[in-house]
Amino acid sequence: MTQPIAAIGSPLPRVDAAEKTSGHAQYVGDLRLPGMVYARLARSPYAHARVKSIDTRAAAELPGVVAILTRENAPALKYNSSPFDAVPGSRAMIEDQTLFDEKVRYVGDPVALVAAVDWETAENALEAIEVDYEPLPPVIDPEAALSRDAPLVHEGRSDNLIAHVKLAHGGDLNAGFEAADVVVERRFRTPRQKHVQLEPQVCVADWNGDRLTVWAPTQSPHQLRTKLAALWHLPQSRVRVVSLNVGGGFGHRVGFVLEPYATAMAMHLRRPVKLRLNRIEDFSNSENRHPMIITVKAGGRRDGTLTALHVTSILDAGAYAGVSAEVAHVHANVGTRLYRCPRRFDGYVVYTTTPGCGSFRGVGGPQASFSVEQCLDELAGALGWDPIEFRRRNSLRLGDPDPWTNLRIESWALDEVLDRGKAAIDWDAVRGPTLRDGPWRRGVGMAAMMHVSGGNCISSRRVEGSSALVRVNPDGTVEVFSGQSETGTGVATMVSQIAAAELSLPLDRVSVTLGDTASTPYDSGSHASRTAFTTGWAVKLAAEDARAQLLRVGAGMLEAHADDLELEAGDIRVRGTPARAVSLGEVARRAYHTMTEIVGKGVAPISNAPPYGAHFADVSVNEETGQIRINRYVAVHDVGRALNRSVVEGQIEGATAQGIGFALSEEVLIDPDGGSVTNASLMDYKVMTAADVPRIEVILVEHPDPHGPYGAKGVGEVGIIPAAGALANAVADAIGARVLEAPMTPERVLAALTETI
Amino acid sequence: MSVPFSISVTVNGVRYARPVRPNQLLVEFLHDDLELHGTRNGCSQGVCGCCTVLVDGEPAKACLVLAPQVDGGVVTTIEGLAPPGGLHPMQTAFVEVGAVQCGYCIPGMVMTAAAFLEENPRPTDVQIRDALANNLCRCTGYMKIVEAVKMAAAANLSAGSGGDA
Repeated sequence: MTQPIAAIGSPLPRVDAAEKTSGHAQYVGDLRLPGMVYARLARSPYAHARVKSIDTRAAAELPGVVAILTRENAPALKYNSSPFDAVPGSRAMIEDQTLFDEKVRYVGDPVALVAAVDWETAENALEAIEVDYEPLPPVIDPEAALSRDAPLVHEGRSDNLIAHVKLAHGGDLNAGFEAADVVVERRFRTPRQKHVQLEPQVCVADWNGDRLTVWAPTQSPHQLRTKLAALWHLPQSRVRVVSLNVGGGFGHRVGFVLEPYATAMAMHLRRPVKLRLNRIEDFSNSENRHPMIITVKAGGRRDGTLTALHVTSILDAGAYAGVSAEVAHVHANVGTRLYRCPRRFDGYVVYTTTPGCGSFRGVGGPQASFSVEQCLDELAGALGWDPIEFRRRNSLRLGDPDPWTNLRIESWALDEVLDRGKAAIDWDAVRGPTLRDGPWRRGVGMAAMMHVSGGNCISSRRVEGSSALVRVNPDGTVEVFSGQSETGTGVATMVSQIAAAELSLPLDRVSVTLGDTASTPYDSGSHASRTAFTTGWAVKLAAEDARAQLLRVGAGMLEAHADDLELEAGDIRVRGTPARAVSLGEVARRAYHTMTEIVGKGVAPISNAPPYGAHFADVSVNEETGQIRINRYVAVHDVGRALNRSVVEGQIEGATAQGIGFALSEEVLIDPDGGSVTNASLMDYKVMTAADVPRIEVILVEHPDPHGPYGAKGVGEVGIIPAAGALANAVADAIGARVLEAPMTPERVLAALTETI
Repeated sequence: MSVPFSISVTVNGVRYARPVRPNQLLVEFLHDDLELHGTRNGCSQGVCGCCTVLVDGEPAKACLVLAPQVDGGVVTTIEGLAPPGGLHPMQTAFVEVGAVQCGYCIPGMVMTAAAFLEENPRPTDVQIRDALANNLCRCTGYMKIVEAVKMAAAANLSAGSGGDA
């Protein structure tokens, strides 16, 4: 063997890296099927209007236009884009979407779908479609949408409130405020952030009269299959979803994106259809992170005790409910559950006539960090407490119940996380003195966080399952089958590494099949930082099962008990007598020749585990220009056990960069009168480049959790959550004023400076 | 209705004579017509850099070049960067350092980085970051991409191909 035996933790190169680096990795946009047509959506220029009539005759007559679907001839479907099946009795997923409604509810809401022989013809046809609209008053501001006389975004409802999400834990809130020596109350605003995954949205659908096949860059192949089967009243056995490589997910592809439209045209034509969005449409007409208006009220005593915490958030859900009520629930928990004190959350999830908001990495967490962590920081200061010590004093402890999962906390890492971050950022040197360099004022700040490893045990979700199969081939190589999706997070590598480690093989003897519902067992998909924790468990258990089967066959060949055998370096041998051995390949061949196939099956246990983290930022703020310069940035994360150090660092670095963007530069701007997105391009929406992102120093802390595979906990989202809080608190330390609106653009920093004068 | 005309272009060492539309983007010609899928469109505005190729030896964004403009020219895409069956040292570095996540930006990033290193074999961190500032990556935060370029630079220098200052 040329490669070493795979080991858990080793920073082994990703198994898909060579293919991606050489340009041969396959994405949905590469697909070309025989007879395929090219589809584009025609969209409303109004934020709110009745669609009186649509005339497609001129468009249909263009040479090469194959079909046009509108409200007149499209099926009347009803759906919700979310993949999550809410527990009955909690927040219902409102099915308020259809393909083409009698009303449009945001600038860009689709009114027609054109299929043509090529992209150019489809684009020309869009321009030839004539729509007669009756404009209605738009409602852009979420607080205005809540007012009594606001225009209704969806008729048949009494108002624009999707849900009032309530949470209360830890005892009597009012008593807590009364017991406080100091109460701080602040109002914050957070932006509509765009995922900007580099692969534009695309979908290929094919209906042959009997089977529906959909190729989509989805994070949830099996959940998408379930939704599509329900949407079209088809047996699930006749629906297949394939996710190839996904060019970035980040929550943008957890549920329905283009699939209802692509499948509608495919079923109409009985031909393969490729539907895509361009980048401008991705900015204007697809889901964003929920912008929020968050009021945080916190009370504490001079002895450092946090006595009460009340968070009230208004979530702008946009035109369609999607997963918004769930987002409020996650936002509330991620923001407050780290702290032991009476806590209350009131979330108002509101319809507006703007593009709908949905899942985005961290799901309400960055918004919570920017607001709650700033308020706690300010309270700590008012009480005369160091922010780090204030967090430490008031957080949950080992053995406490986790109010979100109702499990006991069985791994506790916050102390080490805080200590290592404090040392790495040289906290005392920068925090105490007032440091100035011309117009630059320097400060340091931090924010803490506690997250989950997937959605299991969370009261608002059904079970999120992962199962896997591990097949040993007759030549002793291994194939792993998992319904997970590779969105770049390293699933294929983690899955290979676990199977190889468990079967004592080098990585190149393992291959992986992911994301095709026809050939993989069920997995709820990639979201909520669940992949390492849940898919990892399924693969570990499947590999252990395969190993047990191998040992049983090997026991027969070696005339020994299976209990006396060990599997090491590709051989099965009798423990203590190395001469009595057979290779894994010989065992597999024997199994196949005696009609016994070796296929291990694993189903992940239903559990959860809390990852802890804290970010520390050393910044300088220019009091003349409002610019923020990051001098040092330290991200400390407790990951339980890093299954592959390089992959884990990569996840945290990338998430942190997105969090820094949320904090400093990214916001989708909506015209307050007409409702259109005014910065719908990469030139105007400021995503950080290599020249902008600071060096992110990642410190991994490993406090294994007994519920995680090898002790591992969730990693995918943790880096994005505390960035905004850490940077905002660092800015406050530097300038002695708080920026209450993210992103903290130079204009907003200067405004904060001016207010203190 | 667009009227096609013919261009003659060498791509990755292979000569092609093909009809193109006057307004057809080079990225579409490479990806759709020649089915060289490694060059991808991420924004059509020349900002994301996913479509970066070499045109007559210089890095260019294929979404900002019209196919007719490469008539008589030479184009290198990611598929043509490496020797047959192997990897270019920059690609090897990206793989070994763990700089690849979803992979969508990677071909364009590698093309830019490889061309940059030819011009500047001893770059500083700041120079690397500036050189890559027109290739967006949303997955990695750029940390390991910068490390990969440094590793490739070091490998080139120790192999003697960087020359002595």
